[in-house]
Amino acid sequence: MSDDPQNELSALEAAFGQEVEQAADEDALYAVQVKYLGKKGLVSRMRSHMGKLAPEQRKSFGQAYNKTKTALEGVLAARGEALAQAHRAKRLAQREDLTMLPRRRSGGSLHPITHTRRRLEAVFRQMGFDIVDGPHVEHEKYNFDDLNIQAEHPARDMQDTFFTKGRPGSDADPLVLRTHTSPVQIRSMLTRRPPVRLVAPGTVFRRDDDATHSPMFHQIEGLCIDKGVGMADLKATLYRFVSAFFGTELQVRLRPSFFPFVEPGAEFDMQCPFCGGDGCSVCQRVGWIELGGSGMVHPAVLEAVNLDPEVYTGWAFGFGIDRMAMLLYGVPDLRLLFEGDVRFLEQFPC
Amino acid sequence: MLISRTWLEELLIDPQGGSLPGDDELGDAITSLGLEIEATTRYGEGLEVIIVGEVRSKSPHPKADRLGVVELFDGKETITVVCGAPNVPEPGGKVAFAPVGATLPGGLTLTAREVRGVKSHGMICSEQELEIGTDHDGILVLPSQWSAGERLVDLVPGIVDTVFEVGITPNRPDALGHVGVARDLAVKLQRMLTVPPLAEPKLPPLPDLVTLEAPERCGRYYGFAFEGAHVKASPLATRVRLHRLGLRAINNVVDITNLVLMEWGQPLHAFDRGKLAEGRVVVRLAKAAEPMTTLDEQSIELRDEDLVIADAQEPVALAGVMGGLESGVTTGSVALLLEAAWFSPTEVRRTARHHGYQTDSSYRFERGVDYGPGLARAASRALGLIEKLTGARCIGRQVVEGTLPPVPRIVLRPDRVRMVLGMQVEDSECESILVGLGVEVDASDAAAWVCRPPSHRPDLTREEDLIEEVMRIHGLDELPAEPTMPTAHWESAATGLHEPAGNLSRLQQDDLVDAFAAQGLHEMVGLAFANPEKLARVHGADGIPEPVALTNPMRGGGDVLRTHLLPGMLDAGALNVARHGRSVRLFEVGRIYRWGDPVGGEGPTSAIDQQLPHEAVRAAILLVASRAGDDREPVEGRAAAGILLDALQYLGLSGSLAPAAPDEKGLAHLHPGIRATVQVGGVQVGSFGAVHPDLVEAWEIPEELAVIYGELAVDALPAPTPADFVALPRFPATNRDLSLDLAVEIPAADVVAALSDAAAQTDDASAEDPARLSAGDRGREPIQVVEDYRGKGVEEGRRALLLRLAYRAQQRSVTDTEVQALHDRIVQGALERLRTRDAAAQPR
Repeated sequence: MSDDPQNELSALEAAFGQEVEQAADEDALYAVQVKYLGKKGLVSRMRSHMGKLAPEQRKSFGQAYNKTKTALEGVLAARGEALAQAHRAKRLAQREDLTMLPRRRSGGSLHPITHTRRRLEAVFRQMGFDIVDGPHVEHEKYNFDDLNIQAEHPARDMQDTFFTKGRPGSDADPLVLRTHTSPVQIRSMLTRRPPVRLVAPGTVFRRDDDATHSPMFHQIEGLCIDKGVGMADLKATLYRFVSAFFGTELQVRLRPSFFPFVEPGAEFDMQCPFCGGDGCSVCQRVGWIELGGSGMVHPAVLEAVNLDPEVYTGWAFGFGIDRMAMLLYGVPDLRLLFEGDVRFLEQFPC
Repeated sequence: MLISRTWLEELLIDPQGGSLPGDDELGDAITSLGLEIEATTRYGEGLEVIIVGEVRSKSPHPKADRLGVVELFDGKETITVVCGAPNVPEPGGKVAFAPVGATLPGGLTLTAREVRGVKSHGMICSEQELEIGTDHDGILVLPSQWSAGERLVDLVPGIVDTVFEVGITPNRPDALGHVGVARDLAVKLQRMLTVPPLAEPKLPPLPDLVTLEAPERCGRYYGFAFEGAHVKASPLATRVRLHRLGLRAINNVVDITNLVLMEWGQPLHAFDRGKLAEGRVVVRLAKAAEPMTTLDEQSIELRDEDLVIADAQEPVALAGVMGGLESGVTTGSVALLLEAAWFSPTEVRRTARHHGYQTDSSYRFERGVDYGPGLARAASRALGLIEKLTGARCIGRQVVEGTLPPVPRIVLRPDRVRMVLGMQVEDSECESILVGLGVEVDASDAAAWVCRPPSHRPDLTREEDLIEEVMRIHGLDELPAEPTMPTAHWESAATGLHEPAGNLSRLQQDDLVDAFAAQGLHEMVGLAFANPEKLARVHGADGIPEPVALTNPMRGGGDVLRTHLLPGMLDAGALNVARHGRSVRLFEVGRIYRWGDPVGGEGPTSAIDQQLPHEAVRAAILLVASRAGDDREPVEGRAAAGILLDALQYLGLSGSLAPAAPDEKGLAHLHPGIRATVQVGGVQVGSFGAVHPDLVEAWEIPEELAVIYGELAVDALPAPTPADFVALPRFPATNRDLSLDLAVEIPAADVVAALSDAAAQTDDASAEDPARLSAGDRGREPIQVVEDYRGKGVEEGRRALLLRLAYRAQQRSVTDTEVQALHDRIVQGALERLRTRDAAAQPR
């Protein structure tokens, strides 16, 4: 070690420069930094010479020390920056083909009926409708009689009904598998007072089996009871609903028809959402798609649930969820819905 | 109901002399009346060129025995035609001739062609070839007074026709005849309904002709007696008309009753009076077990509640349903008795259903035919036609009356019409619509009209029915889509999300469905029907729990409602394996049904709902390994455990696994050695495992494929509560692994339970001292089973179970020494518990 601390500083600076150049990565650089500039580093230790120097030398040494230290820090920073740049360049040089067969978690799916039902429920919920359901095995009273479908009347034949055998050992009346969601109207009106506004999606059963009929299928029923409700409200609701459901303005039209539990009764059609009413293969070129039945709740039905038809009126409508799902997804055969082939099911991811 | 356009044209005369609108527009008008057109068929295209040909001579074909050569005069010239029919008339007779160039309905275009050396210039046609009848035994022979060269379509207008197939709803019996449809159209299109002229002869009464013994079942009965009838084939125009409407021509008398049926919707019946004992009829109830043979040669045994038409001795017709075989009108009949009646609809329906009939007649009677003017008109119409077409003479009649339905008196308020319809329909329009439809309207009180519906409209009984009539005719095209009702219904909407299954709201049930789909499973919807044999297999020794049986199941569609989701899922699993062999990951959330524990809750329906079966909601999963073995994740029981526990966690429920007892009920569908249960809060809510090998075999799934099933009883799940937030740990945990040497019979869940118990005892879980060291952070960090090793280094019948416990204090670092001390105490405590079952249990 030289006697002249300033010479020693110069020597250290030179050695430092060499070692910094040799440092190949940030860790090595850090080691050099600690070796020279750490608390007890070779350069830091030089400060201890201050005390041994004559006062007149102190000033010049102090200046030399500070200058050297600043210079070393500059060299260190420059080398650090160079190393960081080199490291970054190396990382950026990495190459990988991401268009190879993607790695995916095998996704699940929801049944098209579930998708459709939820979408229907979401629209009606937003419109202020309650959502209710009822039992599948139902009293004839709620499925027929209270809905103005009297025993021994041909209207009872409009739906081919499944009857259950009574419970063994019981003399209770035989029950039916509900042929429509309309018994929920009765149940709802018995348990809540007007104003009533609800939809009842659910499973229903009819003895029928072909490409467009399944012995089990799904319907959604709408019901509104209040004072002063008329057919224009019904049409307004259907119009709002189909427009919201398909996300585009669609007209609806009503055609007189007969359903025992409504009077007046009407079928309702919507403008074909696929061609906007111009005519396409889905609507068989007529521009309209038949959706379901509707009408003003028959006064006999209101009376059956102890509502005064002079005070309250209401409307109801109903249509098939499965049919809507088939329409939405272009499924040609209803039976596909119920056989559980995963190649069908997985086409409706959640 | 088939409706003929030409027939409507005859019934609807335009005062201005215009013709009916085109087929499409006419069809739309009919549909707009609530009589929905289901199909439209046009007939007779190309038949304009068919003319009357006169036979000039006929001779055998020189080279073919079965053929003849006919010289035919077509009005201008004589033409040679080769014809194979046996019934070519003698010279002077008339036939239907299709000249060269004609295109027959079948699509054949005629050319002049040589038939075995003789050139044939056209064709002599049969009814079938012209599609105006079903007869194809020979050619159509026309009346000899027709002139050669005349067009057939001019002589028989019904040949060219459009037939609408109309869906008639059960409330409109009046529309089951052309007059009824025309009546609606007349009001809609502002035309005049013009019914055919009716015979109104002065007839002597024949008091004994009809006796009514069951007045409550027969409101009115007209009997007409005829003599001197010539029963033969009907004229061509009648036959064509019946053919167009899908009816078979039989003879002129039967055809007349059918024609009147299709015109007035009124079923009539004609008896051969010569075959009626004493030539009279009695309307009475049958005697119990009285036998009868109906027109279709069915022998039936009558009940004492069946209404019959009898002669002096025995039943000759099942009233309103079908005539008897013996008394029917046939070619030899000379004396006739014509019946026109009104029978009680309900009773006709009961009788028809009991004996298994649905006839054109019962179909109309059970819906309610006209008992008033329409009945009389239909009778007069038939009477006139019988006299005209059979040459018979009506020698007298008898009318008897029983109980007729009351005529309703309906108060109609025009303001209510407008309120219910939401349309501005003027009073004057309402009135003219109703009057046009035959309703008697007394509008002397302008705000409340008194209306009496006509006897052909039994469906009109109250105010709303009349409002619908106004709506039908006025039309719905201008109905505005404007809500008048309040747009918010808070009272009702407030309960909007609660349609619970057990403790889960409707939205939480949706969450559960999402939880399975999110784990890569595919939702299926199985039919609610099940095959009892399949169910019996699945329930095994437990037996099917009181299934709900159907009285009238679909053929091959399952006789009972499902009591388990597995059979339907195995059906789907087997179908997938057979079709493509890819792996199957299915789930279903659906109902199962059985008698017992009715669901009826509170409220007005609860009492009656005690009679309903129990409908429970189950969520089930089925995993079947891929046949190619390329599953990304192993298909094994533990996969099902993960799916079920994760689904519960998604709902906010913390599930745990527990071994199934060997005699556990309700698990017969699972492999006895590969099954376990799922619990929430110590209550069993589900089970899972490998499907029992017997079932795998029964469903013909290859043995080498893993088939895993699991289910949750959705309505047994506790109400999920929002999870409590746990402060994030600020100090690290220290893990300790523990390897235990155990008998294989001791389930891992029991080992975990033993460790948890021991931890709970050594480390009071209730103490919330943040400085306290605890295992598993008071249950928040579960004890993990890391590995289950069997094989080299482990004795046969034993396993090496590797478990991992985490130790942590909330607010300080812990030392190895204190962790080791606590760990040793917990392990010791757990071993004491485990050694009661496996004395050799020890750490490895």
